[in-house]
Amino acid sequence: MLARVRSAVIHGIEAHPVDVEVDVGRGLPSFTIVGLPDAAVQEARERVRTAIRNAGYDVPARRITVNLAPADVHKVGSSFDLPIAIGVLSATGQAHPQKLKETMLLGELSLDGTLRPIVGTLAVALAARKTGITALVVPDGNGSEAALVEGVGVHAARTLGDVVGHLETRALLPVRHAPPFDPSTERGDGVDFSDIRGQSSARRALEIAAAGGHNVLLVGPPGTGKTMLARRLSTILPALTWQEAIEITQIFSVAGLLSAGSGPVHVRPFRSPHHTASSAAMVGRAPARPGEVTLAHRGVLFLDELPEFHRDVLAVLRQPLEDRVVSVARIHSTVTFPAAFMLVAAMNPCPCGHRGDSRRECLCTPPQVARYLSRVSGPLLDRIDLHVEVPWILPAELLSAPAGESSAAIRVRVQRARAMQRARFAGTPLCNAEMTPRQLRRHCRLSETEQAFLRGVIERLGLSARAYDRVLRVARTIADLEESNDISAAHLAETIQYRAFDRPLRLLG
Amino acid sequence: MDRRALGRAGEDAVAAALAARGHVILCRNVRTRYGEIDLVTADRGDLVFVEVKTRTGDGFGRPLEAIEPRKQRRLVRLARAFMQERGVLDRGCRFDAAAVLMTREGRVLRVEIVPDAFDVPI
Repeated sequence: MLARVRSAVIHGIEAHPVDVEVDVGRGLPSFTIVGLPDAAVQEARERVRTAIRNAGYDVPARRITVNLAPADVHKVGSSFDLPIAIGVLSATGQAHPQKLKETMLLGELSLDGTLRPIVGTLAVALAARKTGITALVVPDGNGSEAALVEGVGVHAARTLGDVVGHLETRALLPVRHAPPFDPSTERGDGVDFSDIRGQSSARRALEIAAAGGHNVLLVGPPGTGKTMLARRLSTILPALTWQEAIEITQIFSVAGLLSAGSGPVHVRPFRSPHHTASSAAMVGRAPARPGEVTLAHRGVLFLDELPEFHRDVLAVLRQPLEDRVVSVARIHSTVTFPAAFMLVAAMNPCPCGHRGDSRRECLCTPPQVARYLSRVSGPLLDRIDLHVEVPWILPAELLSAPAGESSAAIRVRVQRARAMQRARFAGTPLCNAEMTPRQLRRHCRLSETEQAFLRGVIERLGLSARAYDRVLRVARTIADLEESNDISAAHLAETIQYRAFDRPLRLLG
Repeated sequence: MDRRALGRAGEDAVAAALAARGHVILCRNVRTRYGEIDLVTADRGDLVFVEVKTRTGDGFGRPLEAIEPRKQRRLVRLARAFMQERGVLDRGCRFDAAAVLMTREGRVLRVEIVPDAFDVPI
């Protein structure tokens, strides 16, 4: 007898429908899975067989063939356990499911027949809605996440027996409801900008970065708070929209970072991969392993000790910085992951970290310093609008400095500046950092005096033509923070401060 | 008793035990192209191929452990040849494993039968 069960496979961060066909025939007893299964899918045989027995059913000594269609798509993960088990029970006449046509099933089976949570449930729910499937049966731990998708009835089951009862309409499982969404920007760990004393110019730079979505490079000796500042950036970014929250939740779900039973992600992600990270860890792996740039989607990617990162890792960052997505090509498939993140990079001014430090002598030779700085390539620096110096502060100064403004207060200004940008661009792009050159010329027009001022500064400091566009972009954001339609000389002057790397003489001593 | 007689006695014991469970004994020590099958029976319409292991004392490991994947593949090959020679390839079938523990004098101490012991390995 033949049974057909609907399920799905994750590819990238999206799910694609898969039909699980199970045939039970005569002949030498065997259990075969075809349709490009990976190791985890192959091992489903042993889990399914044992789970079926322990749930009180039987796997007869028959020739069992499982086909996962379409046959040319790689099947990964453990979520095929449940559809295969239901298919076997149905094909052997031990269960009589009536709801198979309109229901999509997924779940990993434990040996005792209970269902274990799986990855990518939200993506499957979205795919189910697209294919016109009206019901979804998932493991209990994934119910809340799947219920975020409207238009699909989500039923959460604890055991294989529960699922059989539901599909036979003997004991229907209740429909899960979505957990409430509260886009608070308070991070669970309680970090806040008021924790930072002093460093007023760095604080201001991060406020500008948040307001315009600009990438930031923090340069300063060790122990001056570069990491502390970066960690707090996500607390002043605008609150998540529902759409953004769904995107992030979908990514976290596929990556297996969502704890069982949790609903949507409420806070912007902050990812800080170590500088030993490989380029595969950074961009992800086909078919369904998102990398750090994707896990930082709609949030902050923090690269501490930027020059210490491998050259190829920095090179692969260029595509996501430019296109807001990252493509991973492998022999059998190409996957595109979303990667719209804000980059915050931090580095020391020299290998020992003490150049320009008034307290300690720098021991680095000029060639060492030059080599160190040159590791950060031009094309990458090009994508970073704000270069900020984070100087050493004297302990006395630190103690006497008043507690800084809170994240909430800064966020109010950031959101106001973002509102200006939304009104200006009417949809795309989202912020000043994403302006195209044409939009830049249209929205960053300077008057005669300002033009003359900027030209003078550029000549005096020896800034590149490339830097000119960067300056305009950031100046636009500074004007937005003041809710001013025009860019003034003061805005330009402030912007010039954030171009430390375009003034090579100063950094190279 | 010599080893051949011990094996023979073990198979007798298993055949008797299977018959008591409702199996119809079809053939014993049946030869195929690739070798010999200890016991072929019919159980509610299924062909059952039985591999019998006889031991005196368990100094050499448990008898059922002796039926490892290579022996399983061998038995599958024998079964396939058996079914092919008789034109019954589409019959439902399964593999049972049996272990017999005996004294050196040929007294049966225990008969253990594992129905549906393994699948056709891929």
